[in-house]
Amino acid sequence: RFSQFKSKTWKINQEERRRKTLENQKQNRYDYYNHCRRLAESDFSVDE
Amino acid sequence: MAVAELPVSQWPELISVLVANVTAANSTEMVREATLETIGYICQDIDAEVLATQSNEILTAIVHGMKREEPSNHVRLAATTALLNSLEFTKANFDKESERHFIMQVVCEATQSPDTKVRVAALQCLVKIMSLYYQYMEHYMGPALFAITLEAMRSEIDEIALQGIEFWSNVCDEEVDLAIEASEAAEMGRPPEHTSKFYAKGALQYLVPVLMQTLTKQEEYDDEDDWNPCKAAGVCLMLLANCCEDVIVPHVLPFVKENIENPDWRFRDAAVMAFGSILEGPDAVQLKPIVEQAMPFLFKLMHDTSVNVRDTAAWTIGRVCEIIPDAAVAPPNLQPLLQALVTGLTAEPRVASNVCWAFSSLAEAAYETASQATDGNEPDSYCLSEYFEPIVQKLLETTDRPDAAQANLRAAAYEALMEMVKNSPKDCYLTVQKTTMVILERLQQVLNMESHVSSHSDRVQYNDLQSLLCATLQSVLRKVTPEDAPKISDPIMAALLQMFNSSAGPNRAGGVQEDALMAVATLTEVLGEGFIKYMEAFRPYLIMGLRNHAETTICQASVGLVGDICRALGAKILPFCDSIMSLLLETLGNNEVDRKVKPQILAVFGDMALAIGPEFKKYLELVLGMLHQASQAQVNRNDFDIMDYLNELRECCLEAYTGIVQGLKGEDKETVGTDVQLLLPHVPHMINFITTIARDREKSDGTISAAAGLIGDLCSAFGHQLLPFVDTEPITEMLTIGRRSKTGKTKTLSNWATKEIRRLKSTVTSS
Repeated sequence: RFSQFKSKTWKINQEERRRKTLENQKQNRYDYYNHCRRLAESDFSVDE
Repeated sequence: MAVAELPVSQWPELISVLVANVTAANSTEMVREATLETIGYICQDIDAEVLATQSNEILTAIVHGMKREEPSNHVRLAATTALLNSLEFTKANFDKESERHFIMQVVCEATQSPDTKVRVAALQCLVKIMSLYYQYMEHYMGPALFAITLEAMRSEIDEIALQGIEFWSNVCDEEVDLAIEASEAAEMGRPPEHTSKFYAKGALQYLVPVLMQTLTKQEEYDDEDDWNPCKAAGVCLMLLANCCEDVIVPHVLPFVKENIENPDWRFRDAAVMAFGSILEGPDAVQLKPIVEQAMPFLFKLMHDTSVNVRDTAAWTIGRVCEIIPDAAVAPPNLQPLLQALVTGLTAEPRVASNVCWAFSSLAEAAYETASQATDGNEPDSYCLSEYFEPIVQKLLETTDRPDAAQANLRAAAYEALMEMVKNSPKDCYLTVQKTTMVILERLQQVLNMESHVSSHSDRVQYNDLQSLLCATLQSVLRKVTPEDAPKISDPIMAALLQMFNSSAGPNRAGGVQEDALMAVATLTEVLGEGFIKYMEAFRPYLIMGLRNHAETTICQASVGLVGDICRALGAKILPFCDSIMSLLLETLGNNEVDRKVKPQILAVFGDMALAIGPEFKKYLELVLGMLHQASQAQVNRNDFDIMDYLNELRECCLEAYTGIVQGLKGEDKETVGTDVQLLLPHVPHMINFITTIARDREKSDGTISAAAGLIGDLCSAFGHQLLPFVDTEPITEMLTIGRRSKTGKTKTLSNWATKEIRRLKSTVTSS
């Protein structure tokens, strides 16, 4: 409870920086693979 | 001894002996007390499952010691404390109505003891019973628990009041969880397993007045580390707002209006605290006009004579900026708000720290509003543009305040600065450039101070500052244009290299190294191929990081960085690959290394394969062997953490295969490279692996996405010969799930893979 009193959400502690870096790496890998697939985000849809 | 022996079925008669000690008519007070304390300690330290079979006997002794007729308060206290420790393994007794009634009766009676310690312990029991056995409380809530806890909340004795408040905070926690369970169940179209009885909502009209009263009992000189009913009341009110949502507003607002200008600071503070506490939970649209009206009062209270009020006002403004930012940036309030905040940066550290937090949220909200109008692209301008430079200037000054070590102010100010920079539109770029230079200068200054750092606390502050500067560097670098980046990268890299050099020395600081590695990662992204000129100088530190098996975070950051460098340098990374690859393989095979690192390494194999293309052939057999092994991993499916790990491991294996297929296939879409044929013998395994995932009911969205990607890649690399492998029921089913995913990536890749399979089918039919 103590930590809930007048609590603030910190956005950029080291843990959070680490998480964002990993997330960013994953996204970049995804983008790079899709670039090789000549795949743009929005130009695909499949008729069910 | 008992804690060691009972779990292995030794000393079987112990519990019976202890029970007899308590219940025997001729036992002295001292024996009863000491025995119950012993039972309490055993219950506290032993695995609950071990004692579950003996819960009847244990409870008999405890209840015997707790009952009203027990003349000794010492014995009653020892018994009540033992009960508190035994609640987790007495589920079987709570399941039986008559036994439950009896336990509840004894506990409720103990809450009325004239002895404070017994009362507190009994109330603690009620708090815990409420969490553990919420579903059974209906029978006791109205007739007993409600009155007992409300009376406790009103008590003059802090320890008792705290337990009364804690009881209701716990009710809120439970009911919020139950609300989540209910909405999840509704989404899946089935009834929830447990249901809320909405005790908090029902009791609101009685609880709120007591809590407000308690809010006015602040300490004049508050010690930040002290916990008291006033603070507990603030937290409880916040939880009630989250739990009860809109209906709390009319219960709280009259008190706020009546007291926000009260001559007694305690009432002003309580009014602001109450207002700040109910901002989250109720509908933001309903709150917005109320908040807009309240803002001018809050600005005024930022200059209150009492520091407590100033602090609470700043916290409340921070909450407004985070939760209902529309009310903060509304035109009539924006300018006075910024004025109040900028002035607030020079207030006491705890007030200023709240102000920094407000700036962080404000920047994010203002940017988001502006970028909505530009379809998510960087907007030209936003509502903070004209104030941007002075705010940044003031934040930079705040980071340098001599008292910035207090109340986390330095970190808060740097964080606000990072958020301001990250969320800045085009017309603020000049300030971003200037800030970059300031950060670089500070980094150089700090590095020159190294030799002056002597005491431990200086060292901690020094390291924290380096970490913060690295983090700030990352956020400014992300904003710097590709043309400007090479102009400033030399001194930045020089500073980072110096940092690695000193943080790897005798005063080594893992945290600083990790942040410096993350800063290098950002630099590779910004510079692309241009990063090659630093590779020779950086290589020793990269290798040192990859070898650092003892510090997982550093090893992991280094592995991730290899991936970034591969993407940035492409084929130019080739001369460095042999040494990096041998380290990656060594780390992968080392059982001492934290398992978290291993999936990352597999994924990085894919990055390297894609970067160097056909040159990857020399590593192919080794890497495919590793992937073969990793993709067959089996785990204990009852452990959620391990299941998450399995999904992560599989996702990374799939990503590695994708990188290898794409790398060997070559970039030309029309003519597939011949090297990719080397993979043909491994295709059946890849398909088996994908099929295992497809059949796994606990597969994550991420694995579906990566599997779909690999299916598409295999289709385009191997053409129609692949069709019989992928045109199967489990794969078709998985792709259907993927196309319906809520995640954009999974949808895109599943659609693409489905289309690739259809394309192969149509070529087969037409030929």
